[in-house]
Parts: sequence; structure tokens; C-alpha cells
Amino acid sequence: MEYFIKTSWWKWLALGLLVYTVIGGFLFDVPRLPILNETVRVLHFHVPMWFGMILLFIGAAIFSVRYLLTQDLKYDLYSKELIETGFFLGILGLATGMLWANFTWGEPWSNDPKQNSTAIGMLLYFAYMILRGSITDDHQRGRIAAVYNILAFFMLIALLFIIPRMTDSLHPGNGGNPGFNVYDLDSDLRMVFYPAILGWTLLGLWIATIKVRISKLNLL
Amino acid sequence: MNRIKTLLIKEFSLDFRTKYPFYSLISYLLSLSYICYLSFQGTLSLETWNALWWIIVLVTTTTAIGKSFIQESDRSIYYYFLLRPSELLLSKLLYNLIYVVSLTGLCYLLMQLFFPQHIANPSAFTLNGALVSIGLAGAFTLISSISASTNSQSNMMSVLGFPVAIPVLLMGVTNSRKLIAGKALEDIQGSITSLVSVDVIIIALIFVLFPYSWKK
Repeated sequence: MEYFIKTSWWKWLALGLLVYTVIGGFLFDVPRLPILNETVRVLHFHVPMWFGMILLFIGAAIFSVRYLLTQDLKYDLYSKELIETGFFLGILGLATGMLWANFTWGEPWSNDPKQNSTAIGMLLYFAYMILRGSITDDHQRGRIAAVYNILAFFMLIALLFIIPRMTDSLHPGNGGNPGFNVYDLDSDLRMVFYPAILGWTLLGLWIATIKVRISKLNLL
Repeated sequence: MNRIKTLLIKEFSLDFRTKYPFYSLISYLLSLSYICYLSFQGTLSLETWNALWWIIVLVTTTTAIGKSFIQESDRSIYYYFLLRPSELLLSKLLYNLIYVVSLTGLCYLLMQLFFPQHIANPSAFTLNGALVSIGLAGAFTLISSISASTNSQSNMMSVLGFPVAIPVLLMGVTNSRKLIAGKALEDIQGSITSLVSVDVIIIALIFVLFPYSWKK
């Protein structure tokens, strides 16, 4: 994290990748598919935002572990800012997903297991922010928040990767719906999709580093 | 082992002497299921029966386990000198588990009394209930120790506890609905296995994390 605060080359990379994502995502050729049609372009926005959120949450969980091992308050700060940014990316991902679902599934909320898991996952991290607000002592807040964050992270893993596997989902790639591999025979989508993951994650990291710096200034 | 036994005996004799926490839980269960009885007028589909049962269990166990560390605040200073964290946690976990299992069972009996429902596969149904109880007891034990160190203890218990309990509860509710509808244990083997694995993850996590949340 210190490395990312001090250097700036990756911000240019993020900028470049996102410009490429927006241009490529809207203008490149996409496979013609029934129902999906042009909405397949949401793949470059909705899915990478979720990847970015999960990567930021992984980072936050690692910093929580490091806080418990070292009792250094800076790790607590990093983990808090990463979670808040990840939460923001998660809401954006949810919003773009609902927009997409409105066109393809007919309604924004259709009781899809992945959607429900998402809502619960957001609730988990919302509770984390409430928890932080309810403790006044810095070190105690850091310790308790870190403990809860690690527990919440494992529950998120259970929610996102175990429960949706057990039931059929409307999402592409689940419950008999063809996935990415079938749609994308000529790898057109991949050319934008993979850079988009990196781009959105780096943007989240960028926001998080700015938030860390603001918090550090407020401490002075 | 001796210490754990002593702690367990202490918990139960405390409950036996003060009595009100136990009776308050009973009255909680009774009034909740009676409200359901009056408002549903005896007509419940299988899904509603199942959902109501687990919701009452969730609400009651949150209240039951919430007190477990809050009431220790004046004693914990002795525990620091006398006990290892794992010993304290194990005793609390066993105590909470006994509570959750008996509350789940009692709630089941009440629901059967008010809304008779035929259970097609009782042994698998009990197994599923026991697995969910283990998960709930484990997650709530840690959450209770977390919320004991915040400023609004009883509120935090439900704010933090509900989202953490949902993965376990969701699997349990789905399983028990299928079992009531007449599926055999073999049909839901996969989800029972994932429920077991989530239980194992929770128990392992709370033993790792508890020492940190307990220290002041």
C-alpha cells in the first residue's frame, strides 16, 4: 500500500486501461446472441467492478490480519479505506447488473441466488462500517474491526462461491446457461474484459489511496 | 478439561440461580410463535412453516447468545489470569450450543403444536437442524464477544449477527424445506456437505480470532 501511495505509474496505467475499456467496450464488435444482443457489453463494466471489489476486500482482509499481528494502526486505516472503496465498487456493480437484468431478465430484481448473495454481502460490510462507528478507542476499534472483517470475508466467500453453486442461477454460465467460453469463440470479449478487470481494480486502489491520505491529514 | 467443566457448571448454576434469562427466552419463544399462530389463523404452507420456524430460532438465539459475554464484563479480569482463551471459548461455545439446540428443538415443538406439519424424513431433518445450530452457535459466540466491547452492546449483536448468520441459515432453510417436502438425505448430500464445511470454517475461525477480540 505504501508503494502505491508513493508511486504514480499505475495511475496512468489505470487511466489508459479505462479509456481503452470504455472505447473498446462500446465500439468493438461483440458476438450476436439471442436475448443478450448488445447488452453483452455490460461484461466490461458489471463483472470487472465485482472482480475489483473482491480484490479490494482480499486486500482489506490481508491488512486486517497484519493489524492483528503488528498492532500498527496504519494497517487498520488501509483495511478500512479498502473496504469503503470496495463497497462503493460493489454498489456500482450491483447497479449496472440490475440495469442489465432489466433488459435481459425483464426485471431489475428477479430473486437470482447471486443477486441475493450480493445483497447479503453488502449487508455484511455495511455492518462493518456500523461496528467501526460504535467504538471510540482507536486500538480497540482496530482490533475488533479486524476480527469482524476476517469473519465477514470468509462468510462472503461462502456466500459468493458456495451458495450460488448449489442452486440454479439466471446468470450466464450457471444452471444450464451457456457461459463466457461459449459466447466468446473468437476472443473479442476477452480482449477488453481482462484489461477492464485490471483497470477497475486499479481505479478502486487509486480512490483508496486518496482516502488514506485524506484520513492521515485529518489525524494531524 | 477440568476448567472447562467448572466453567460450564458455573454458567448453568448462574442460570439456575438468576432464572430470569432462561424464562425470558421461553416467553420470547412462546409469544413469537403465538403471534404467528394468531396472525396466520392456522393455515400455513410448507415453505411458510419452515421460514417462520427458522426466523423465530434466529431471533431467539441472537437474544440468548448476546448476553454470554456482556454479563462477563466484571469477571473477565480474573479470567485473564486464570484461563487460556481457547478454554474460555470452548466452554462458552458448548454452553451456547446447548442453548441453541434446545431452543431450536423447543421452537420446533411449539410450531408443531400450533401448526401441525408432517416431516417426511425425521432423522435427516434433525441432522440438518443440528448442523445449523452448530454454525449459529459458533458465529454468534464470536459476534457476542465482539459486540461486548462496543458501546451499544445489544444493538450490535443483531446488526453484526444477522448478516454473518445468513450463509448458514440460508443453506439450512433450503435443506429443511426439501426434507419436509419428502426428499431423501441422498438428494441433498451436496448441500449437507457444504453446510458441514461452512461449520468447520466458522469453528476454526473463531478459535483463531477469539484471543484477539477478547484481550482488552
